[in-house]
Amino acid sequence: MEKSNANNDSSIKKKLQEANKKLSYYKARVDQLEDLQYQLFENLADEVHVWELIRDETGEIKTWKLSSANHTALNSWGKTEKEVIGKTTDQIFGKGSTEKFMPIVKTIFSNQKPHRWIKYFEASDQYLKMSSTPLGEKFISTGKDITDEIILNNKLKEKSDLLNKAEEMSGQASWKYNIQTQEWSFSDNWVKIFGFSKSPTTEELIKALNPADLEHVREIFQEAIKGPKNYSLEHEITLPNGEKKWVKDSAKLQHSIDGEPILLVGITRDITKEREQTKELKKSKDFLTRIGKIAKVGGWQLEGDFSRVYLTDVTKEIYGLSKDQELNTDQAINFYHPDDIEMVTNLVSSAIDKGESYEFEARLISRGGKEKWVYSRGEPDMKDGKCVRLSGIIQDISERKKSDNKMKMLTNALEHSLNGFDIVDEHGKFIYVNKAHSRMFGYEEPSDIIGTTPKDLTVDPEFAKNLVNRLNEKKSFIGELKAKRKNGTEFDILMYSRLDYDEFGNKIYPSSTIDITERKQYERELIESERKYKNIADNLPGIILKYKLNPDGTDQLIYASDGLKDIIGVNPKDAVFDNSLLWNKTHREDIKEFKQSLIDSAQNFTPWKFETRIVLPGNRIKWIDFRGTPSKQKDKSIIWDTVGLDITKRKEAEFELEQVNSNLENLVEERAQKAIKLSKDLERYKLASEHSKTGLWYYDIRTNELVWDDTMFELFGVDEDEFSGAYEAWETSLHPEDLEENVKALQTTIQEKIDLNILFRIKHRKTGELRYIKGKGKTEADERGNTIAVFGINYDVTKEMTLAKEREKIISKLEIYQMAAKNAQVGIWVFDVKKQKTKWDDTLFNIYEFDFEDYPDRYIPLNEFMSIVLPEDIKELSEKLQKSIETGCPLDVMFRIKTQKTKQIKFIRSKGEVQETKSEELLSLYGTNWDVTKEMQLAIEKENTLNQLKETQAQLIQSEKMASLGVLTAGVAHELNNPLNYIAGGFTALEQNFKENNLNIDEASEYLSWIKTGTERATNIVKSLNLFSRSSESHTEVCNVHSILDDCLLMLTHRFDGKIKIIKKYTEYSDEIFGNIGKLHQVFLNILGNAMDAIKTDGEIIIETKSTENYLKVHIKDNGKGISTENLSKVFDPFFTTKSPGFGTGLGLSITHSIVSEHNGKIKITSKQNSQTTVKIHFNK
Amino acid sequence: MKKEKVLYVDDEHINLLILKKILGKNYDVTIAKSGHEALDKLEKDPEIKLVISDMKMPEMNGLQFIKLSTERFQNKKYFMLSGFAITEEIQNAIDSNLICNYFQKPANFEEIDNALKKECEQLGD
Repeated sequence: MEKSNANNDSSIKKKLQEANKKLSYYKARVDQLEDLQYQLFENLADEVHVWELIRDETGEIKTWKLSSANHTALNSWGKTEKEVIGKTTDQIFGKGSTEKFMPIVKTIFSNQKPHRWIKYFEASDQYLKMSSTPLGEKFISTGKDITDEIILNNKLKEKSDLLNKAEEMSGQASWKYNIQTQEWSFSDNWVKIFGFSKSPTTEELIKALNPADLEHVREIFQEAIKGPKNYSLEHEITLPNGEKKWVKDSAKLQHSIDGEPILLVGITRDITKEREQTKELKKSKDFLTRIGKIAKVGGWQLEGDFSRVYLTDVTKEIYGLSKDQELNTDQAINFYHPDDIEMVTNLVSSAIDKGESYEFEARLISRGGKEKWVYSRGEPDMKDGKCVRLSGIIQDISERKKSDNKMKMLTNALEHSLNGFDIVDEHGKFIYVNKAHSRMFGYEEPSDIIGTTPKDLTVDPEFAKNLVNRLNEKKSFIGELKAKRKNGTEFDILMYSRLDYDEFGNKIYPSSTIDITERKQYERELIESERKYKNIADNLPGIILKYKLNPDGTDQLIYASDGLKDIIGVNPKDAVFDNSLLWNKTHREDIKEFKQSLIDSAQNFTPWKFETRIVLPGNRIKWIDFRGTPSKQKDKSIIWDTVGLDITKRKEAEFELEQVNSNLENLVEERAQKAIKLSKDLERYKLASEHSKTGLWYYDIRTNELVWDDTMFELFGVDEDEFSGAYEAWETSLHPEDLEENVKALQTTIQEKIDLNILFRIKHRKTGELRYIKGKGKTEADERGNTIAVFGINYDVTKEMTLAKEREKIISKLEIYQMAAKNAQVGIWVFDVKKQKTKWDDTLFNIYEFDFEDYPDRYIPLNEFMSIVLPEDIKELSEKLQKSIETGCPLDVMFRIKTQKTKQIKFIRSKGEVQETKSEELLSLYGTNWDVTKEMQLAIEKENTLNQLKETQAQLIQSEKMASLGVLTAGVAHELNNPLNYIAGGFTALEQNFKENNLNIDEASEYLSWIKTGTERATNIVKSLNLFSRSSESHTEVCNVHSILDDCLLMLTHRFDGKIKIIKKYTEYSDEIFGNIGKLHQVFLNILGNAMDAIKTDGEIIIETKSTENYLKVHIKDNGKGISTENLSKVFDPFFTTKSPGFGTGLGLSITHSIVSEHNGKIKITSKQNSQTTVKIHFNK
Repeated sequence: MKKEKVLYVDDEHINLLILKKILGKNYDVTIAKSGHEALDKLEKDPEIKLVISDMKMPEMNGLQFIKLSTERFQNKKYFMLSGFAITEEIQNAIDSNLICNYFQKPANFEEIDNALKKECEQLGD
């Protein structure tokens, strides 16, 4: 047990030793700590103070007292150690500090944890940042006075606020990029401007960028970070709200003390609006420049001291400067023409000094030495009465000036032209009239017409208005019209008008007018003579020519009848165009004399006659006898109306001979040469072509080029700029039907080097109208003789062609007449009054059976002709012939002849006209005779037939009479019965009485009276019958119509007695007419009979007569069944009857009708079916 | 012997007088101017057995009168005295025994007398 006690004692000892060691350790530690603490306490920059709690009775903390405080604290409080150790906080800091800090103290002691806090100590005007730690009943507060910090912070904040505001106001947004930390910081303004809710992250920034810019921005950014270049970039960003903006980032690198880049400080500016504005500005600048360039209006501006001038590019162009050259004001002015400089200078000065704006036109000499006309305007900007800027424009008007001058020259030309020129404005009033125009219209001065309307100058008042409409539609017009002078007289003009525009784009209508009165008059006369020709031509076959010799010796065949073709074989159309065709046919031996005879006739004004040989192909000769009378024309030419008769035997077929008369050929040749020469001189040509409208053309075969002058363009209706200048232009203009022929002709010309002479149709490109163009040309050859070109003229012959066509129509009509004449065996004669001889053509010789041999000169003396005329007709023929000769009236007579040979009687119709002649010497009749025997024979036959008809008719009438008689006998027989009865009865009664010897006078008287009555009646009837049988043809018997009517009634008694009531209304006046009694009986018997037939059972017939001095009327009306309208028109037709066969001949009314006509009367029937019929006969006395 | 009664119809007055006078010797002649009057007379005097009639009368011609009479009265003999030649109509009347005989004017009084007598005898039987 000791041992265990000994163990126990050693372990306790050990444990005690150990505990003592620990105690010392810990004591040493505490001492260490205390030392540390003290050091800290003393050396800390911060305040350190230890406080001991003072609790109250309950144990609640009441306050605390200071145990120790370090220097910093003491300094900060401004107290010594003595003053504060052992004092409470209130005692040290004043009353209220306990309360102030109590919450903190309480907190640290309840938590037993250190507590940090910042508090402002009013007492010491301190901001304190403290940390208080509990230690048993003590606590240690360490802290710092951060008042300065706070102030500084506040200041900084203020500054930062100001900065932000400034940023806000400037629209600048600043940002920082820390290179080392790669962190962004953005100012509030930045965030606000760019619509972020807070500072964006790098991802957000990248997202905002335009992907296209991303690479570029990164590159620039990387460069900027490295330095030394500053970062500046414009790019687009997309804000979070989707809005797109343009921004400009500018940043500067900030370096550390070591020179390392640490920060990128930048500003982002929103340049969206700027960009837009710039764009707009550029746009408008570009626009203005363009406009300026187009209008060639240059701008200029003087500013400041006005010594220098700003010129736009266009202005510089005008001056001839390069774009970078500048001028001062004096230099600019000196560019003007020396004569104009003073004016310009003065104007500029006035503008600057007095604020007077100006404009002028002056000459400017560009740097290149070119003289230009310019127009310049200056406008000063005045401020407070002083000019601050003078600006204006300048424009090159050289072109305009040129055309102005041209205008002036043209105007001059217009003024003195012989043609009238005028311009009408869109209101229809004259705004320009040249002298020729006003003179033409009989006004003194152009000013008299200006302002008036063309209405007064044209005969048709609507013309001007229609013309304007037409011009507006079709742009041009050329035509002839009737114009009116001031004094009211009318005259003819040819007018060419166009639609044009003045400088303002208003419509104007210029016209050129030529007085063509004379020409028109001539035309009219020509037409009139043509008409006269037609008249004669209608009666005369053979050749009719109208030939004209001009004072200059040129001649024309104006008209030729178709006989030309028959006899000479020349187509009148061709002859008219080229009368050399006729001259050529004239036998060369005769030509000279022929022409001489014409000249003689022209000079002496004597009637012309000439017999010439015409040479036909095969050297066949024909003789033609020409006669004509010359008449002088207004243009001093002579026209002959001639007739040519073929005085050779006409049998042959026609051939055509071509010879060119040398004179004519030369003339034509000369003309063509002249025309071609003229083509070399354009100026003079234009004048000529204006009048003759002849166009010139030149076709270069090698280059296929075709050159036309203005008139050609006009003719074809092609615009110069449209014209291709190639040969095809001509070909394509031709009428398809004319193409082949004319192209061939051209080819022939080229190949054979013969002159071109063609006629073709074209369609005017603009108006579309058909035109006939005559073309003439000559070839040009190279040294080797190959054709290299063809050149010539074209002129419009549409009018002539149309005229020719007209004539052709007339001529073809003539042909028809002639053919008819031929068929009708018409012969022509010319009777020479003086010689009393008639010239006959073949036909007449044939008709009259005279021999040609007997009359080699074809003249038959009148008396020899008369010898074959039947004696009965000679007188009339001679008289009429004489009358025509004396009075000049046309001859129209018919007579018979007995031919010499065959002794035939022929009927001849003769028509003739006296030749209109101005001289007394030649008096002749031209005429035609034709055999009308056949016609006459027919006429005679007709007469015979008519007579036969009359006879037949008479016979028919007779047979009708017979038929009537038949009717009569029946009636008569019946009528006689009764009278006979009376006689028989009376006789028998008497007989009886006599037999019985019983004669009583009274009775006997009665019986005798029966007999008497009977006898009388019978006698009457027989008498009437006699009347009917009379066949006298005399129409001069005195007829008592009433008696006749009564006779007829008697005859018809049996038909109406007891059935039909007869009402007689006889006139009291004379019923006598002259006529044929028998026939009149027939008439009334027929009519009354018809009336009775019409009444079936009963009715009435009213017979009414009326008589005056001049006529006798008989009306017979029945109320029977009437006549239908259809039949009414036929009743008088022979053999028309509505009765069944055997009951009427149907001749009754037709014979009645003819009898009434013979009696100079009229018969008319009116009827209403089933009602009545009235027959009205009217006899003229 | 009592005279046989005869009726004579005719529109012509003188004819009536003539016949009455001449036939009146042998017969008792009644005259009538028209068919109507004749019918009346026949009505009034049924003893009249013999009738002579003219053909052509206004209003009612002879045949029409005779036809009507035969319808109204029995036992009468009819004769026609007319200016007309025998027509088909009259011939038919004779053939059908409507009328016994036809006389043409101017009258042959003997002929008429004989004919009448003949018919009288027949009637008497």
